[in-house]
Formats: sequence, C-alpha cells, structure tokens
Amino acid sequence: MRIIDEQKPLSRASRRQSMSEIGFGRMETYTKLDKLGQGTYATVFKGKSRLTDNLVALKEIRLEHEEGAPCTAIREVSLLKELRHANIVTLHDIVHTERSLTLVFEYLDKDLKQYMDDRGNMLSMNNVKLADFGLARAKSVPTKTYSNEVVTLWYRPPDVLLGSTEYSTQIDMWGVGCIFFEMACGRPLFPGSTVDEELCLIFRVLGCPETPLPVASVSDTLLSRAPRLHQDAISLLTCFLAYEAKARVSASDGMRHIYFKSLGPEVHLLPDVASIFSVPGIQLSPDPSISKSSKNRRLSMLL
Amino acid sequence: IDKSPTACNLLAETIKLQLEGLYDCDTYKDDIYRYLRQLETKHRPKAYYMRRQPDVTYSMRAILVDWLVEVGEEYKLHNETLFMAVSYIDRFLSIMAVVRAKLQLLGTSAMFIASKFEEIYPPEIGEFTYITDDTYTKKQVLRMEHLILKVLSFNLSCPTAYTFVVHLSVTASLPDNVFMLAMYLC
Repeated sequence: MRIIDEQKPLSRASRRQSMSEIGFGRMETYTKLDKLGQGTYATVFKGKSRLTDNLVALKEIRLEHEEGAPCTAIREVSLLKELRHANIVTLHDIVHTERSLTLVFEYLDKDLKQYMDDRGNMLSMNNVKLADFGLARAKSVPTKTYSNEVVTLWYRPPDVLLGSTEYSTQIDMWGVGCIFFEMACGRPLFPGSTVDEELCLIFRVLGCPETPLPVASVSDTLLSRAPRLHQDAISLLTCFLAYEAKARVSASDGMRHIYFKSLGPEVHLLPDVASIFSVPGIQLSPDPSISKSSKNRRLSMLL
Repeated sequence: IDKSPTACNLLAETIKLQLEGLYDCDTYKDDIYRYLRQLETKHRPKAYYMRRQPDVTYSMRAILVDWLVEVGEEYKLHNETLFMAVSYIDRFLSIMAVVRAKLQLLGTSAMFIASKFEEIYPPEIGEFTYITDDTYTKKQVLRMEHLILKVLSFNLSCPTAYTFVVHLSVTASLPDNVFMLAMYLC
C-alpha cells in the first residue's frame, strides 16, 4: 500500500505492532465454523480463536460497495469499544481488510428466546447480555433530532411510530416494558407487522392517545394476558408503557420499583462488570407457580 | 462560519429551541458529563505533536481546518461533525507522519468518517472527491479511511470542544451572547 509507505509511524514504537504480532487484528487467528445467521449488512459465523481456543462469534461485514465502512459498523464498533459491562457482549477484536470488516465477539450460545425457554430446565448462572449495537448512537446532550426509522417495530414507542424524531433515553424504556412482558409470557406484547397495525395493537391495550384508558383497566388487560405477572410487576409494566415519553419511568427509577425489592439493596451497589449472580442469595430458580402446577399434575396422575 | 449578527442570533435561537425540547434526561445529566470528561482524557492528541511532523506545519493545519469549515457549510453538516473530523486529524497526526501532499486527503477522509458517525444523511463519497476538485480518487479516500480507522483503533466516539460548550451552556443556562462568544473562540 502506497499510502502507508509514505506515512511512517513516528519514532515511538507502535504498541499496535506488537499486538498484531500476537495475532490480534488478523483473520488467520480465527477459524470459521458454522454460519449462525445473515442480516442485511452482515453475516454471523461461529468461530474459534487459535490464540485462546475459545469460541467466538464472527460478525462479517462486507465492504463491496463504494462507500467504505458502513456507518452502522463505525458506530457499533466505536461505541462497543467504550462499553465494559457484565450484561453487554464483549468485542474482542476487529479484523479490517479491503473487502470486509469482521467483528470478533465473545460467543453467546443462545438468544434471549432460547435462554428463556431453557431456563426452566437448567438453572444456569449465565448472564443475559445485550448485543447488536448497529443502530446505537453516542449519547451526550441531545442537540438534534434523529430519524424516526429506528427500533424494531415491536418495541418502537407510539410517539416515534407517529413520526416524532425528538427522542431521548425514554425511547428505550417503552421497549424495556415490551421485553419485560415478553420474558414473562414467552410471546411479544405488540407484534405488529406494519406501523398502522403496531399502533392498533397498542391502542387496543392502552386506549387512544387522546382518550387513554384508566390505569386500572390497562392493568386488568395486561393481567389477563400475562397471568404469571403479579400486581407489582403489572404496576412496573404500566410505568414503562406511558404514552407521554416524559411520563415513562427512567431506568434508574425503574430499578427502585417495589417489584425489585425482593432482590435486596446490594444489587444497587453492583459494579458495572460484576454479574448480578455474584450477589449472595441471588440465583435463578424455576417459577414456583409453574413447578407447583406440574407437581399437582403429577400428584393427580398418582391418584 | 457566517458571523453576521442576524445569522448568529438565528443559529443561537435554533440551537436553544432544539435543546429546550430535547434536554430532558435530567437523571443522567451528571453521569453523562462525568463520562465525557473521562473519555476526553482517554483519546486526545499529543501536545506539540506538530514539532515531530517533518513536512506539515501549524499554518497548513489552519488552512486545512478553514477548508473543512467550508466543506461543512457546503453540505450543511452539523457542527459536531466538523469538530470530530478535526479531532481525528489531530490524533492521526500525533501518531503518523504525513507528507503535505496527503494532508488534504487526511482531512477529506476524516470528514467522511465523522459524517458517517454523526450525520443522519452523510454525503456520499463522490461528494468528498468532488470537493477536493478530484485531487484524490475514491479509492484513495477509502484507503485513507481504512488507515485512519486502524491508527485510531476505531476509537471514534470522543467528545470535542463543541460537546462541552453546548453542555455547559445548557446546564448553566448561559445567555446567548456568552454561548456565541464561546463558539467563536473554539
């Protein structure tokens, strides 16, 4: 490459050089195994690192088009590099060639759906981790409006569905509510396939934005759809599902909701990189209501 | 930047309006500020890096930045994009020696990357070769992009002087003229 020849590193030896000698940043370091999935701009493979023998996930972004590194990749990589958290997928390495950009992630063996399905069977202590930051943006003081083509349709809040581009952190709290419901019920709360259908599904539960249904009636609807959720959980859920973005509970206030009280005060002092399971007394256990019912069934079979 | 009083007032007015509507994440304001301060020290250019550059000088950098201001105006790019591009240039020059014939290429690719990071609708690469009067080819811009990303190790999310001026103006509710003076100075 001609440009590199002309721009020699300044006298101090580059640390990057030595990292590269170990094997970081090079495709030869990773063995591609099965293909895990294909998205619009990337293909994900299961892989193995020859350095550590650990399994990795290789997200391969093709650079065929003229525009160089796609903005989604530029944002995803630079933001992930700043994030160190027990519940966020770790980006181990980046392999950048002329034809592709490959992100090397820690390997997570299940997505949330599979994780929730298996949870009843094996009491695994694995953490749930957030992945895929392709639509992420750096957050500072909000200074401009963004596009309203954001967030998977099922988790997109009504204000954005209706065209608002003036969103902030509250945009995510609506989605948190939807996922909370989905984790408890095993099915999505508002699975619309078009913007109109999505709004209809929301209106059916919450009423129209001009004439919203009273909280009690919304709670009843949610309770009937999610019998596993008790009153405190429903109360938390309605805090997330507020029409007015400003009225939605913030993440930090949400964590102080009575629903989480049973976890004890230690969870609020947890360092970013520590798993919630490092708090004494916190572990996953099968839902008592489910195990009771299966025990009942077994009992009745014995009778 | 157009420094006529009417243009300034208009700009201040729009920025303020946008901020009032959007600045409602009170809960995280202090966390965000602390994080930005910390991030600023992590990725910053070396002081006096120009002394070690064999071919380019401070005045050449000034000409490059002036040109980038014009590019930003031409394509109506956000202020943050311009400030980020300049920060990428300074950080790149802190690590790599660049010959003067390639300084504009560095500026072009830095602006291209900053646009892709920050803008909702970043201009296409053709626009960037066009504004250099086709001094460089698309291939050169892409190769330089690749090199910048490598040298900066994809650490592109970093606050700039602009980030802090806006943040402080809003949190301290500074009057417009103070805000504009601060913008003028940085």
